[in-house]
Amino acid sequence: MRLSPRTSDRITRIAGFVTVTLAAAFLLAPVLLTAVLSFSNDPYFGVPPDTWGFRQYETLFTDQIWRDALMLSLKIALPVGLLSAVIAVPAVFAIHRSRLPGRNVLHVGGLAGIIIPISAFAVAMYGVLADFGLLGTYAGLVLANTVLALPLMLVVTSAALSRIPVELELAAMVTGASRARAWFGITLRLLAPAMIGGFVLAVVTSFDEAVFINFIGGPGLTTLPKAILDSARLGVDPVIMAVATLLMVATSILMILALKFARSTDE
Amino acid sequence: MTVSDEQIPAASVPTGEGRAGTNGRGAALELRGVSKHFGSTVALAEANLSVRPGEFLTLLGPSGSGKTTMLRLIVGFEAPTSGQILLRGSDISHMSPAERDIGMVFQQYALFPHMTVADNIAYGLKIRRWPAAERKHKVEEMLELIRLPGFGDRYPRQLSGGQQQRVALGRALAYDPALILMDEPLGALDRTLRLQMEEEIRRLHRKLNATVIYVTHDQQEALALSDRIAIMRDGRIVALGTPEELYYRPGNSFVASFFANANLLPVDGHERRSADTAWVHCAGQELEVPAVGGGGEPAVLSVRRRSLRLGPADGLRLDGTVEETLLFGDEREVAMSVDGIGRVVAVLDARDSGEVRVGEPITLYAPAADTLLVPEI
Amino acid sequence: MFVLYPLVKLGIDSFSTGDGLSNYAAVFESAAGRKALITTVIGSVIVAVLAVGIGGICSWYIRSTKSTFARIVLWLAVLTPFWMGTVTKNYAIVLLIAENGALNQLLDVVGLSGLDLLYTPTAVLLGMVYTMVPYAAVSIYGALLTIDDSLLSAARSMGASRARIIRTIVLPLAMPGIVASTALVFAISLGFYVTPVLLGGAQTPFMATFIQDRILTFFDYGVASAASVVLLVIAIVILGLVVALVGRERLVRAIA
Repeated sequence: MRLSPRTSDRITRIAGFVTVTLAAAFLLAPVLLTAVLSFSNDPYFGVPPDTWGFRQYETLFTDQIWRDALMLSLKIALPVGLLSAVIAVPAVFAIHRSRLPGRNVLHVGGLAGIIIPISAFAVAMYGVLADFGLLGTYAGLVLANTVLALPLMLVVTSAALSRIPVELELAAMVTGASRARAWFGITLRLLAPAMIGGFVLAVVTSFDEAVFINFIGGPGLTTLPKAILDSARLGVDPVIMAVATLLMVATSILMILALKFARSTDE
Repeated sequence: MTVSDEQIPAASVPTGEGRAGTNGRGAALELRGVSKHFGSTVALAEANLSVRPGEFLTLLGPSGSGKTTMLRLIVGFEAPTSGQILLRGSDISHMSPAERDIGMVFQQYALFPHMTVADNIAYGLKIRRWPAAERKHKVEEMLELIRLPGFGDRYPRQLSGGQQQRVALGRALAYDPALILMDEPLGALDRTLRLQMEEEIRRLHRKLNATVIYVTHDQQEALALSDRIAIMRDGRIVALGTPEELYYRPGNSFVASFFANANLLPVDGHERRSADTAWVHCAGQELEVPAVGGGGEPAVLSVRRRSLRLGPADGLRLDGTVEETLLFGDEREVAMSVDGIGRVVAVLDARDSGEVRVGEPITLYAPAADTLLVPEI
Repeated sequence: MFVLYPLVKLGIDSFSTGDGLSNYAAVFESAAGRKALITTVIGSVIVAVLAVGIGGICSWYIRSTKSTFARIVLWLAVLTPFWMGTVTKNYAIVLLIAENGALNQLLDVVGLSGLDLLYTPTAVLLGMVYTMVPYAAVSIYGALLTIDDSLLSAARSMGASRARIIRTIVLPLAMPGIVASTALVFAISLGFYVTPVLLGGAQTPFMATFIQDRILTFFDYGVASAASVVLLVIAIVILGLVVALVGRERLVRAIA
């Protein structure tokens, strides 16, 4: 049977609409559910909750375990952000502004960090850290998370630098600026938004890291994701819904900021 | 193009000396035997060039001819392999770009995107530690000069391409450098804007009497702007002269075809009659024609497109078949193929040539005095 | 360097700890190892196909819809999993599919019997698809953007129906991007850890949990590294195939 283009179009359109609506519902439902349920006042999990209130948030903020986990996560994430910036920026200049023989390796290595299976990577990190006696240490976690965050930082700053024409630095130099003044005042200044964006991205990545910690963490090193994971493995604790909601809000804000900064270099 | 097509006797060709005006104070810029090698490739070979103060000199050549290399050597982005570059008499060959006192306009404008138009123009002044008040005054003056008054607070991205390029001009001119370099500054603009900007650059040059070296691959631009033109090929300057000299008396076959778009006809033999005339045997005819060069080397007969006409005339006669015609308003371009010569292109008056048909035979004439025997390179 | 050094060391360790191929033999000979590997590979294929399918349809809708509202809602839906933490998003799925979770309550209301999804392989796949849809959608959207609108108008002017335009113009032109995206999703899926742990429970065999057990329960780093290398090799072979098929540029663009 041949359908007229018009009927066929209508069928395609309806089928598309239904699929897309279902997909959107599937993607949005867990978030909305978590956010709504975090305002349950029940000490146990149930849908729909019997009472509503801020009980979960109160528990969250008064409980020492959650506070410690949050602090540890921050204490890891911030150095990771700084470290990856300190490593990525020179690396990106080496990739773009020189004819180093190893620049392709650097590029491939950076991208590999994003796509390789994460648990295989975790075992690799386990092996390396074991060699240096860093398993189950704070330093080991910072190092491992930096390796994880670095590729993102590289991709963001590298994309930004490739949009900054070399001529700008040259123009500053012709106009009389010293090499250092041209570099700091023009190129680095223009790269700054991307660096901040990459920094936020690195911090978020490290903050969210939940795989490495299980392999290379140790007793007394419970980050926030690890705390949630441990708690969730034991059963459904309604406090986690509050943690999750706060995390989602914080991450969203940070990610939007990061994207905004990273893109502002475009203009 | 507005250049008249009358024949100009070689002796009366203006040399551009008068237009440069400030002759006699020595060169503003001088290149002495400057070479640049990248590995085994020679990007620039033994270039010698002297630019007069206030002169507008264009480096013209196809891509890869060495003009950009020469520019980068002058501004200091590259160091010469050998030779000396002198600016106002002092050797700058190995100075950093910042020490050279040069202004440069880039093809893609290279305006600092995070600074306002005013800050862009003031950048060189700030580095030279001009006091704020004088700086402000100078920026206003430059904005006036580049016809963008009131645009100081805008950002480059808010301006059109032409406006951005004017700001780039303002930035390069603001600190009154000893030399201005322009690297294909109109390359990124569309045709109409390009013509306007040519006008603008001419006006600024006249007004400021600045010394300018201008790089382009567009011969129309070079014709319209320059006091003198250096034509480059394969890392060498193959001709240097005023637009008139190069157009009407090209020194060799490359200049004749690249700059004047002339037809190059093979000759079966040639012999010097005097310092600037020769006998040639061309297209089965014997003619006495103007000649340049030493006389011993292989040569071709250069015939400009507008030298060919339909009406009988003394001189060269070409019989061929029309291959193609193209109407450009007042003019008609006619391509013909001539046995033993090849393809010849002529530009004829459109109304006189209405009967020209593709595939039919045609006969065109060029006055002998309107042709030129040039060494073949 | 930071990325490659650990991986190279991993490869060497997998042979040198123990005796040559013995670690690999241990992976392939143990029933648990074989089962985990098969489940992981087949699961990743399913995830890749589903995520690319859903992501692809969503990104085409975003690209072609005229309604700004629909576009915003869809972008929001597609990007939300990106912005939720790894653990939290899996936890959210637990809330959705738990025995007394939202989905079963909903089914109960409409009179259907509840599903026992949590702690099954299906739950893990669901969680993985949820995580991977954004990756697929964003990278395919990039490929779709390169398709010139005038091509679609041209096809339309010749009388092609929507379905035909998608089949004969959009799909062929987006195919390299789709292939790259599928490989990308597949490679990332191989390494999933949090999702099997949270949604699969103790009983569902995935490589990540297998590997972790070797290290943390049996302290057998050699077998764990061999299992990891197996995952890596599968990922590299697939990515290598895709590079050969559609070129390195495509893959790089799909990632960035």
